[in-house]
Parts: sequence; C-alpha cells; structure tokens
Amino acid sequence: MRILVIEDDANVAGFVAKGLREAGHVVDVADNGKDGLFLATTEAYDALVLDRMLPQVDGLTVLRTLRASGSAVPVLLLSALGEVDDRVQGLRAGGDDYLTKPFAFVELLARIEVLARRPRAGAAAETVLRVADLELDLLARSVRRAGHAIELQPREFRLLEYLMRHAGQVVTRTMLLEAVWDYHFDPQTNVIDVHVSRLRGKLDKSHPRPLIHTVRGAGYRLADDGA
Amino acid sequence: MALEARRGLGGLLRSTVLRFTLGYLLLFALSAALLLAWLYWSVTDYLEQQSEDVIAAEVQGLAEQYRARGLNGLVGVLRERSGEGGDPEAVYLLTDPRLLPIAGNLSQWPVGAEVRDDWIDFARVREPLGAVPVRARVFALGGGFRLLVGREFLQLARTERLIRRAFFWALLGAVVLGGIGGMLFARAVARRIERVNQTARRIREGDLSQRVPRDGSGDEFDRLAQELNAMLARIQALMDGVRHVGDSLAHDMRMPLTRVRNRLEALREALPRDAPAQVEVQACLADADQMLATFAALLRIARLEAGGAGTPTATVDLAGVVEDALDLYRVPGEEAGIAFEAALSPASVAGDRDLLFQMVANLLDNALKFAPSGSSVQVQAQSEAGKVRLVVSDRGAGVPAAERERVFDRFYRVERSRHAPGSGLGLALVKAVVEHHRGTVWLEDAAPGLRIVAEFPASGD
Repeated sequence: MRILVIEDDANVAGFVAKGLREAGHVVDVADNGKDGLFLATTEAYDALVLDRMLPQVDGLTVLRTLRASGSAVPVLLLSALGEVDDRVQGLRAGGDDYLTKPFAFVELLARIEVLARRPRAGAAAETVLRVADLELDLLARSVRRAGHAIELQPREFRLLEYLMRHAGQVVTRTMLLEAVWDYHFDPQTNVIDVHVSRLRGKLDKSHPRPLIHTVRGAGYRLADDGA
Repeated sequence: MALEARRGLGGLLRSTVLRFTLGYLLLFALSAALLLAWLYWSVTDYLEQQSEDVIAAEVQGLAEQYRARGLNGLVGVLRERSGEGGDPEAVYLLTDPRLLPIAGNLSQWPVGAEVRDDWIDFARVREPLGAVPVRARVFALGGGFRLLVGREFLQLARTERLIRRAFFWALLGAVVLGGIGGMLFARAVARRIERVNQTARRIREGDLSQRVPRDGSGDEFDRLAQELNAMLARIQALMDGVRHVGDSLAHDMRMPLTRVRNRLEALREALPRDAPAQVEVQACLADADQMLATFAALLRIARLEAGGAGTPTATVDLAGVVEDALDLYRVPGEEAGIAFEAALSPASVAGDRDLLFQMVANLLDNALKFAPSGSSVQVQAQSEAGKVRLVVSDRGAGVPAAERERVFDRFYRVERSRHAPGSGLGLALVKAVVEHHRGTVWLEDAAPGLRIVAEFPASGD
C-alpha cells in the first residue's frame, strides 16, 4: 500500500516510515502541512498518517481541505493531546481514526492496515461474513461453524463480527474495545482477553484448525492460516 | 463533628479570651475600688479637717468670752448658742468638777467618752436622726470645770454613706457591664478565630485552595489572616510544584520510553523465534508497557484536575454506562467466581461518557481485585432528590477507617493490597473523574466489605 506520513517531528516520522516500509508499504513523508496537502491532493494514497500539530498549515486544516476537495482517503490522526474533546474534534473534521502520542508502533500499523483495507462506501453491504468454514449471518444474527450452530451472547456476536470483517488483519485490544464496546478508555487489566478466550472456546473447541490467533505483543487476528 | 459540640458554654469557659476578660474585669474592679477608697479617705479627711477647724474657731471664740467675762459669761454664751437660734450641729457642754452639766445642749457627760484634754469621739441621740456621731474637744477650765465643744459629723456620715453606696453600685456596674462587654468581646474574638479554624479544617480535609476570610480592617486578626493566607499560598505553590514536577516528569519520560519500547519490539522481531533472549525482551516490553500505562494515567489525572478536559456538557445516562461496563466485566467476574448484581434505573448526569466508563471500569476492576471468590458485588445507579448515586459494594476485607481518605491519593495502596497487581492510580483517577463531573466520592464500611459511593448532581433533562 502507498501511505503518506505528514509529521514534523523527524524522530516520529522516521520511525513510523521505517516501520511501515518494513511491513511492506511504500511511504512518503512530508514535514509540514503545506507540502503534505500538496502531496495528498496530487498523488493517490491508500492511507494518510496526519499529525495534528504542524507548521504552516495545521493538521485539522489539511484534513478539512482534503475532505472538501472530495478525497475519501482514510486518515489516521496523530496527536499529543489525548483528551476526549480533541478526539471528537479530530473525528468530526473527517478523521477516520485517532491515535495519541506516544503510541506503540504495532498499534499504528494495525490501525492503518484496517483503515486502508476498509471497504469503500458504495460497496455492496454484505449480509453474511465467511472465513473458512465459519459463517456469520448479520440478518439472522446466527453463527455456524462447519454447519453447526454456535450460540453467542450479543457482545460476543459483535466481537466476532469485527474480527471477521477484518479477517487476516491484526486488531489490537484497544481497537476491539473501541469497536465492540464503543468506549475509549484504558482498561487496567486485560479484560478483553477474557472475552476473546471465551469466544475462542466456543468457536475453536473441537475443531482442529483454530481461527482466532493471538499476535504476540499486538492483539488478535482471525484467519484460516494458522500463522 | 465533636469540635462543633464543644463550642457551647464549656467551650466559652475554656476560652482564653474569656479568661483574659475576667482577669481584666477583676483589675478594673480593683482599680475602681482603689479610686473610690482614695476618694473616700480624702473626702472624709477633708470634712473632718473642716469640722475640726470650725470647732477650733469656736473654741477660740469661747476662750475669749471666758477670759473676758469669766465662767458666768461663758455660761451665758453657751446657753445662747445651744438655744433655738443656734447651730443645730454644734455640741456644747460645760460641767462642774463632778461632771454634772451646767450649760450646753448635752444632758450629761457623754457615756464612754474619756475625761481628758483632747479630741474625743462619741455619739449623741438627736431626733429624728437617731444616733449621730460627734467629734469634740475637751478643755479643763480652772477649778475642775470642763468645757466640751464639738460638732456632729452628720455631713461626714452622709458623705460616707453616699460614697459607700457609690462604691457598691460602681462595683456592681463594673462587674455587670464588664461581664457583658467581656462576653461580647470574647464571642467576637472567638468567632474570628473560629473562621481561621474552619479554614484550617477544610484544608485538612483536602481543599488546599481555602483561604482565611479577611475583613480588610487591617487589625491584628486581619493581619494574621493575611499572613496565614500568604503561608497557605506558599505551601500550595510548593505542592503544585512537586505535583508539576511529577507530571512533567511523566510527560517527558513518555517519549523516550516509547522509543525504548519500540526498539525492544524491533529487537524482538529481529531475534530468532526460539532465541533464549526472547523471554527477557518480552519481560522488558511488559515492564515498559506498565510504566507507560502509569504515566498515561498520571497525566490523565493531572489534566482532569487542572480542568484541562473542559466542562462536561453532554447528558449521559450513568445507568447505561454501568450496564455497558458490566457487560465488559461480567465475564472476567465469572472467571474469578464473582457475580455482579446490578440495580439500575435511569440516572442522567452532565458528563463525558468515556470518562464515566473509565470511572465505572476502574471501580469494577477494583471490586474484582478485592472481592473474595464466590461472593457477589452489588452495583447500584439511580437518581434521587436531584442527585445521581453510584454505589459499588463488595464483600472483601474493606479499608480501615483511617485510610479511607488516603486511598484516593496517587500511588497510595492499602497495606494488604500492596502485593495485588495495579498501579495505585485506579481510585485516584476515579476521584479525578468524579470531581471533574462536580461530584463527590467516598468510602463506607459495608460491614463486611467496602462500599464506594459516588454522588453527582443530576442533569436537568
């Protein structure tokens, strides 16, 4: 994927670009809002990493200008401000996700990949999600694996839905909490792990090929490959 | 409080100001008594002197009569003077050698009066005044005759009585007025001191922004308040400084620590999967994550306390937030053998749902940590009388009364929980969130167990 990083802190920009390149992406870096806006409007990117505080033209202005010009490129906002108001403000300006500095690189990578591979608006809405022999029917609210029905609690259903929508991608614990519980907060303990392991118990029990994988140091991945 | 109850009569008696006032009153009464005594002595002395002068003048006159006209002449003068037209206060008596009266207005030699040539004092009965004190001079004339010339001390006695009465009333007045004045003074002083006490009490209860109220009069109390306030401002500045150092340390350490964390992650990826160093690197990563989480929580508390998160305006149903949080914590609870029992009814507060969720999550997390396996944790959220109450009670070991305030301090941990996992910031963050929502939070004894109560003003709609 082609990713544009607009960040004036050379340290952060360097380590983000290096990490993304190592993950197999093509990365451009702009160190101010003006250059960043120019690149974003003239080149085609799959995703943007945009710092809020930038010299010349600030991040939110870049974002608003970009959206006003009709660009729907997914944008991950970076900010040193972590307060909820800032978050809401950023998302309202057209940001797709928000990450507070300092962050772990795996968190940024997981988020940017989920963003970039998100189905574009207008794509036919799926009503049944399938991964290997696992099937999730969004209309009937039912789940079957290898033809056998699996009983899930509503929250487990949403958890599985999120994992299946991003099958093959790494999702972090924070992403799961935000997507499934719709709250942005710092859990003091790994409560989410308990939920995932429950779900895993119901899904992968008595099946030789596990579908939910733990990604060390990052989060979870639902896939059929066992990697 | 017990302090309040002690401010009755007992407190007034123990008051230094009152003791001072009583002492002052005593001194005042004593000086009034001294003044009156001096007045008494000088007035009576003056009156006595005057009477003696009058007597002396009279004696002089009589002596001349005696010298010129002899005994008979003297008798004539005496008869004349002690008759109708004479001075009623004058006393005369001329006696023969056997002390029998010859002339004068005394019927006999006064009982008990000495017979000598000197000043004597006695009393004579004169209607309608009764016994009247008399001062007189006795002279021996030739041939054993004696002359007594004196004056009633009626004026003196009256003056004496007057002064004695004045003395009594003045003393009574001094005591009553001084007592009332002292009481008022004591109360006024006590009230002003109590204001200082109240401020000190509120500060001790944790509100360091309290200041002693000043009346701007510039008197001693005003100056004391000024000095105390200056001292408090200095203490607060120092404490803010310490906190600021802590917070900015957390802020400044976060970036390099994140870099360390990311380098460790890169190192882990670069190492072969089965390298023995993997375990070490993984442990380092976990430690770094723990430190980052602590710093993040510390900064969050600092920002909430500084009011940096803005005032909450949205209306949030606390019961709904609790419901969602229970949804997250029920499963971990089941794993730990702890059941959450909820009693929820709609309870709107003006607030921030993410922060409120964080608060509830911390409380549930705390309950999970301290509730014994097999017990249940009660969670209530409801609105009553303009207040929204959130109550979380567990059946754990509870918190000793002495520590109930301090558990909300940063990094404070109850002795028996020192080995439980956690940063010691969970309840500090809860308090910060509650106060950000203009609420109060406290601990109660659930006998057995711990009850945490958070109370918010209910939202208008």
